[in-house]
Amino acid sequence: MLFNSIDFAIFLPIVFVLYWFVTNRNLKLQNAFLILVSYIFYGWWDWRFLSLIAFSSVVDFLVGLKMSDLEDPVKRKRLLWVSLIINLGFLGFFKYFNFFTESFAEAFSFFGSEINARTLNIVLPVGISFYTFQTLSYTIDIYRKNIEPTRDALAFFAFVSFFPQLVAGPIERAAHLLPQFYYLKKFSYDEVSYGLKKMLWGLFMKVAVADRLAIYVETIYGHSDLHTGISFAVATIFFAVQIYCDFAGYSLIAIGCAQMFGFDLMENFRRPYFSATFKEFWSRWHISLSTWFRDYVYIPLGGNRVSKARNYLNLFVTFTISGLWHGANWTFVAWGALHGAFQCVEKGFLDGLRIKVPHVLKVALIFLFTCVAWVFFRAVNIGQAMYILQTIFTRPGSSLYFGDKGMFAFSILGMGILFANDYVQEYRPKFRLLHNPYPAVRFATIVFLLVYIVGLGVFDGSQFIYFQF
Amino acid sequence: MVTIIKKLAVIAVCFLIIDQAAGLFLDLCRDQSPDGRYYKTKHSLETSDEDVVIIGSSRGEMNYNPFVIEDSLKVTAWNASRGGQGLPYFHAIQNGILNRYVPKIVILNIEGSMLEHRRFLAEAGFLRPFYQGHPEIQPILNEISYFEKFYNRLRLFSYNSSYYYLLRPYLIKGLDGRREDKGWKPRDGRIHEIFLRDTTEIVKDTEPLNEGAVAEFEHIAKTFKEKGSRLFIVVSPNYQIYEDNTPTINYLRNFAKSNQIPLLIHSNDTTMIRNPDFFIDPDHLNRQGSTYFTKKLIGEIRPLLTASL
Repeated sequence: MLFNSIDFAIFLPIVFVLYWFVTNRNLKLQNAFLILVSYIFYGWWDWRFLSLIAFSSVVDFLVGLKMSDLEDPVKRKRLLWVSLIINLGFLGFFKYFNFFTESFAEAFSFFGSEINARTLNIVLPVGISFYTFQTLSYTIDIYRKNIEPTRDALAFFAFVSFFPQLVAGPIERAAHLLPQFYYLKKFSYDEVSYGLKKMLWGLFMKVAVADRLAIYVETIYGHSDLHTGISFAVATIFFAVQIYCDFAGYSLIAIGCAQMFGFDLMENFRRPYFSATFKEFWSRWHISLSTWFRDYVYIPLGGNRVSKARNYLNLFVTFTISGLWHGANWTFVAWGALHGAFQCVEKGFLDGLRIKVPHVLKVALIFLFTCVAWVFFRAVNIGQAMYILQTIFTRPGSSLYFGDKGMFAFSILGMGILFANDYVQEYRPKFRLLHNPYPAVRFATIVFLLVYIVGLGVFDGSQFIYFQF
Repeated sequence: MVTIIKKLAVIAVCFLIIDQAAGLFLDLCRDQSPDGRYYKTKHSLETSDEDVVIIGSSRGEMNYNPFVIEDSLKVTAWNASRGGQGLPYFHAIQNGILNRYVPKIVILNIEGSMLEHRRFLAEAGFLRPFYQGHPEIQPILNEISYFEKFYNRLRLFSYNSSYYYLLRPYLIKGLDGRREDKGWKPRDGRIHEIFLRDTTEIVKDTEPLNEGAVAEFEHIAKTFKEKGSRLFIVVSPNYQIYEDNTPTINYLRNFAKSNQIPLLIHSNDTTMIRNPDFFIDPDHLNRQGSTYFTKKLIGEIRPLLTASL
C-alpha cells in the first residue's frame, strides 16, 4: 500500500480510530493490532512475502533469546551467523541473485570464455533491504551486548513489521524503537497534530515536487540520444531534488504517521543540500542508513582507529557497499564508490587546506558534486551515465528542452516553495510556517498546502523510488 | 480527540470553500478562453456543428488542413484532434459531438501501431475540466480509476495542472492554436537536420494487438457509421518510416473491408515520407506538407463520396 494512494487514505483513518478507541486499554491488544494492520499494509502489495517477514522475525526473536542465555563467545557467534546467513541470504537471493549471475557471466566473456548465465524470474519483495537491516541490527546489538533481547514476542513482531516504516524506513534500531512497544500509548493531541503536519509536508514533497520533477527527468533521461548537455544538467539537478523529495517525503510521512500512533521514529533527512562538506551531507542524508553502515560496517572494519591509508579504504569500501545496498546494478555501485572517493579526497586533502572558501560556495560545490554522482544513480547503465556526463561537460549545446512548459513552470514553482521552507528551517527557524507560533499562520499554511497538493500534485499512483531498494 | 476532529473539520470546510470558489473562476477562464486547447475542446464538445470533423492525436491536429477540405468539398470543417491523446479522447469527443448532431463526414486518423499499445487512458484526464458539465464523457474518464467520480467533485482536482495552458491564451494569443485555424495547428519550417536520413525504415512490428484499444476503436468506428456519418480511416505519413504491414494496419484492412469503411493508408506513400520539405519533425507534417497531404486525401475521398451518392 502506498502512502500516496487512496487505499492508504482509507486505511489510515480506520486504523487510527480502532487503535485509539478499541485497543487503547490493553498493551498486548494494541501491539497485536499493530501487527495485524502492518501485515495487511504489507500484504496489500503481495501477501506471499509476508512469510519472509514472519520468518525473519521468528528467527531473530529466537536467536536473540538463545544468545542471551549463552556466555560462550563461540556459540554466540554461531547464532549470530545463523541470523546473518538467513537474513542476508533472503536479501542476496531476492535482490542480488540475477545481478551476480549476470556479472559473473560478463566477467567470463570478458576473458574470452562464454558461460550461459541462468537468471531467475525473481520478484523483489518491497522493502526487504529495510526490514532486513532493522532485524539484523537487533541481533548484532544483542551479540555485542549493547541491548538485552526482548521476551515479548508481540512487541518484537510489531517492532519488525511496524507499518509506517516497514517498506522504506527510517531503519530503526531496537534500542530506540523496541522499548516503545513496551508501554500502552496514551492519546496526545500535540503528537497527532505534529504527526499530521509532517505527513502533509511529506505528501507535498512527494506528489507536488518529486512526482512533478520526475516527468521532466524521465523525458530527458529516457531519451538520452536526443538532448543537449544543458538539458541533461537541468534534468540532473531536477533529479537531485526529486530523489530528495521522494525519499525525505516518504520518511516524513512515515515519521508523522508513527507519531499519530504515539511512536517516535528517528529523523532521516535534515536538509542535506545545505551541507558544506560531504561528511556533513552524509550526516543529513538518509541518516538511519548512514549511521547503520557506520556502526555495522565502517567501525567493524576498523573505522578511523587505523592507519590513514586503511581508514580511506574503510571509507571507500563502506560507501561502495552502501551503493550496492541501493540496487543490484553497477550504476549504484559507481554512485557509492564516487561518494566514497569524495569522502576520501575531502578527508585526505581538503580538510588540511587553509583556504577560506565562502560557505555558500562550499554548499554549491557539494551540491554540484552530489549531482555528478546522481547521474550514475539515475542512469540505466554505466555507459549512459558516462555519455550524459560527457555531453554535459563537452557538448552543452545552446538550447534547453522544456518539454511541457506548464509542467516545467510548476516544477520550478514546487522547488521554489521547497527551497524557501528548507532555508527557513535551516537559517530562520522562528519563521517556520507549519509550526509557527501564530495559529492563523499555521492554519493558512495547512490550507495552502492542501490547495497546492490537490491543484498541482501528480496523482498517477507512482511508487516511491526507495521502494525498489 | 474531539479537538483534532473539530480542527480537521474546520480545515476541510475552508478547503472546500476555496476549492469551489477557485472552480468558479477556473470555469469562467475555460468558458471565455480566447483560443488554445480549452477553447478548442469546448467547441468540439459543445458548439461544433461542422459538416466534416477530423479526430486524431497530434498527427491529426497538424496533418489535416480544414481549409483545403472546405474549399474542395464546399463544406464546413473542424479539426477536433488533440496532441498527446489516444482512443479514449477520440471516444469522448465522439460522445460530445454525437450528443448534439451527426457530422456528414468524419476523418479518423489512426497511427500505424496505435492498436498495439496502451490506450492512453490517463492522458484523457485532460478532459477533467469538462467532467461535471458533460455526463456523456464521464464513463470514459471514470475508467481512469474507480475514484474518479469522487475526485472530480473537487474543482481543483478537475483543473489539476491545467492552469498554465488555461491562463496563457489571455496573455499571449495564438501560441496554442488560433481560433481562426479551425482546430488545425499548422507549423511553419522544415525538419531539423539532425533528423535527416537517406534511408527509409520499414516497420515490421510483431507486437500483439491491445484488446482494449481494438474494442474502443471498433466502438468509435461502428458508432459513427451507425449514426450515419461517412467515416474515413486514415493513416498519415511519417518521415522516412514506411508502415504498411504492421499488426494495426493489417487489422485495419480486415476491419475496413468487413465493415465497408474506406481505409486510406498514407504511411506507405513514398513520395511523401521521403520528402523532408513536408515535415516539421519526424512525426508531423508542416504547413506545406499538411496542405499537400490534405489535397491528396480529398482527391481520394471525393470519388468515394460521389460513388456513394
